[in-house]
Amino acid sequence: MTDNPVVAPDPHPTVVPGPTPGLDGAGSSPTVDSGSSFAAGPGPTADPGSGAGPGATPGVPARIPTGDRNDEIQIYGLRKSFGQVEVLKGIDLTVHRGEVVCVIGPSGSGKSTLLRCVNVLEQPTAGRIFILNQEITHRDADVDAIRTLMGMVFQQFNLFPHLTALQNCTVAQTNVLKKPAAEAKEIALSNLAKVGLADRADAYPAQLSGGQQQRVAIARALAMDPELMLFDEPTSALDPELVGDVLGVMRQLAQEGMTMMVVTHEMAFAREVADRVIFMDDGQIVEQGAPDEVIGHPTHDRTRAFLRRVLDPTHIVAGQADPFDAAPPPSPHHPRFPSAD
Amino acid sequence: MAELLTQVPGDAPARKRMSPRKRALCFRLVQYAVLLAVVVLAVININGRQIQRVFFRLDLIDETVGVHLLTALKNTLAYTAGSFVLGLLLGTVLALMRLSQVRPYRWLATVYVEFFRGVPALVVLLAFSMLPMAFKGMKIPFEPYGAVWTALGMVVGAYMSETIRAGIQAVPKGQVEAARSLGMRSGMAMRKIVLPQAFRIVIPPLTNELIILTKDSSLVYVLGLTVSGFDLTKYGRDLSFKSANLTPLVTAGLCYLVITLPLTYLVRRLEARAKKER
Repeated sequence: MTDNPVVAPDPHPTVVPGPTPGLDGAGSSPTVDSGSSFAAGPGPTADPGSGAGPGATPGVPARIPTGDRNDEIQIYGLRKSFGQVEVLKGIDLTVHRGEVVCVIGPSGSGKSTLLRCVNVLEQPTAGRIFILNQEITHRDADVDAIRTLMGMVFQQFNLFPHLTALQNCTVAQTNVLKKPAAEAKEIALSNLAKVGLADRADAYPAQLSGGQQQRVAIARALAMDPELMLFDEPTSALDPELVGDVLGVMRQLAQEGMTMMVVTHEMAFAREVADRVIFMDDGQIVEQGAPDEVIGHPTHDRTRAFLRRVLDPTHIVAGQADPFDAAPPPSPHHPRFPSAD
Repeated sequence: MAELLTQVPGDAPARKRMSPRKRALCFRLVQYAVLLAVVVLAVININGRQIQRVFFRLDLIDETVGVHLLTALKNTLAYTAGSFVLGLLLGTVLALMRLSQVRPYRWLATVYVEFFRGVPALVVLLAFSMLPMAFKGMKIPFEPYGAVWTALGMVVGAYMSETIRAGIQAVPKGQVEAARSLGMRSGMAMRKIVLPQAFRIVIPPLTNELIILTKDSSLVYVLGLTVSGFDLTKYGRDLSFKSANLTPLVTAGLCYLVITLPLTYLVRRLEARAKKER
C-alpha cells in the first residue's frame, strides 16, 4: 500500500487507512452507471499505469483524433505561453465520456489555463485539442459551434447581472440555438429546478447568494444541453458554508453520467466524485490516476508536498521550512484531512 | 485622554495652549463673523430697487413670457434632444471603432475624437451654418434644426464616445467569456451582454453630458435664425437689446434651470442607485 521509496517518513499512513475504505465505496458508486461506457475506450482506471509513472505521457494514439466518440476531450502537445512565461509545457490528455476528471495542483501550475484552453478562451500557443473529435484549435474551426457542446462554470460565476436567473438560462438558447422562447423557458426552468432554484427564477444575480449564483451558472450551462462540463474552481469564491450546495449539484451531475473536467481545491470532493485525479505542477501533468492513489498515495514528491500543504495547512508556518520535511507530524490526527462528510 | 493632553510637559509653560476643541470653535466663530460682515456690507451698499429694475422688471417678465418664451423653450429642447440622439449614435459607433480589432478604425476614431474635442463647438456650429453658403445649392434638411443637430451632435458624439468606451471597458472580462463559452459570437456577446451593461454604467455620466449639451445649445444664438427658430438665449438677448434691460435674458436663463435642475437631481439619484448596486 505504501510503496513510496522516495520519502522516508511518510506522515500519511496514519490517516489513510481510516477514511479510505469508506471513500472507496462512496467514490466508486457514481461511476457504476457510466462504467459501461468506459468499456469502449481505455478506461481511466486502467490509465494510471502509464499516467502515474514519473513524467510519463500517455502514448500518442495511432490516429489523431482517435475517432472514438467516447474520447470527448483529446489534448495533444498543448502549450501555452503568456509573453515569455510558458504556463503549459506540453499537455497530453484524453477525457472519456462520462468520466469525472479533477485537476488539482498549486496556484500558477496552469490548471485553470488548461481548462480555458479546452474551449479556447485562451488561444493555445501550440498543440491540438479535439472536442468530440472536432478540432477546436483548427484555424477554420467554428469555435462558437463547438463551444455549444461544452458548458463552462467560472470561479467568479460570471452571471449576466442585467438578466434574471431565468433569462440568464434562456439568452443563449434563444440567440445561439434559436430555440423558441417558450421552449427555452421550459428548459431553463427545469434546469433551475435541478439546481434547486426554481423559486428564484425571477431574481437578479445581485439578489442571490454566491452559492445560489454559482448554481444558476451551472443551470445556465446545462440549459445548452452540453455534452460535457468544464468547472474552473467553482467553489473557490464561495463562503465555506455555501460550498456544499454547489458541490452537491456537481455530485448529482456526475452521478447522472455527465462528462466533467473540474479544476478544484476541494480534495474531499475530488476523492469522492472523481474517476481520475490529475496533479499538475509547473505546466505539466505530474501524476494522474484514481483519486485514492493520487490523493491517498501520491508517488511524487511534488504531489506529496502539495497535498500536505492543502490538507493540513495549520501545520505550515509561513516563511519557515515545512515541518513535515524534517519530522513526522505533531499530531496523528489531521483535522482537515478529507472525510466522506 | 484630555488629562493626558493637559499634562504634556510643554516647552513654553508661560503661554497656555488652547485645546484642539477650543481652537476649532474659535475658527468657526471667525468664519461666522466674516460671513456676517459680508452680508451687512451687501445690505448697506446694494440698492435693492435698482437691482429689481435691471434684472427683474415685472412688466418685462410678463412681456418675455408672452407666447414666444414657450416656443424658445421648445426650440432649446429640440436642439438639445436632436443633438443628443445623434451624438449618442455617433458616440456608440466611435466607441466601438476605438475598441475595434481593425487598426485603421481605431486610428480614424481617435483622430475624430481628438479633433472634435479640441475644437470649440462654436467653430463647428459656425462652419455648419456656412456650409450651404460655401457649396452652392447645398441644403441641410430640417432647417434650421438640421445644421444644429449635426454640428452639436458631432461635437458631443466625440465626448460621449469616450464615456461609452469607458463603460464598455468597465464591463468585466468574465462577462464576455461567459457569453462566448455559451457559444455566442463576439458581435452577439457585445449586443446582448456587454452593451446593455455598459449603458447602465454610463447613464449617469451621459445625463451629465445632456445637461452640458442643454447649456451648449445656447451657442445657436450666433446663427442667423428666424424668430420661429430662436432658442432661449437668442430670444432673451433680443428682447434685452430692445428694452435695454436685463430682465428678459435673466428670465430666459432661469428657464435653463427648469431643464437642468431636474436632470441634476436625476443624475444624483442614478449615481446613488449605481453605488448601491455595486
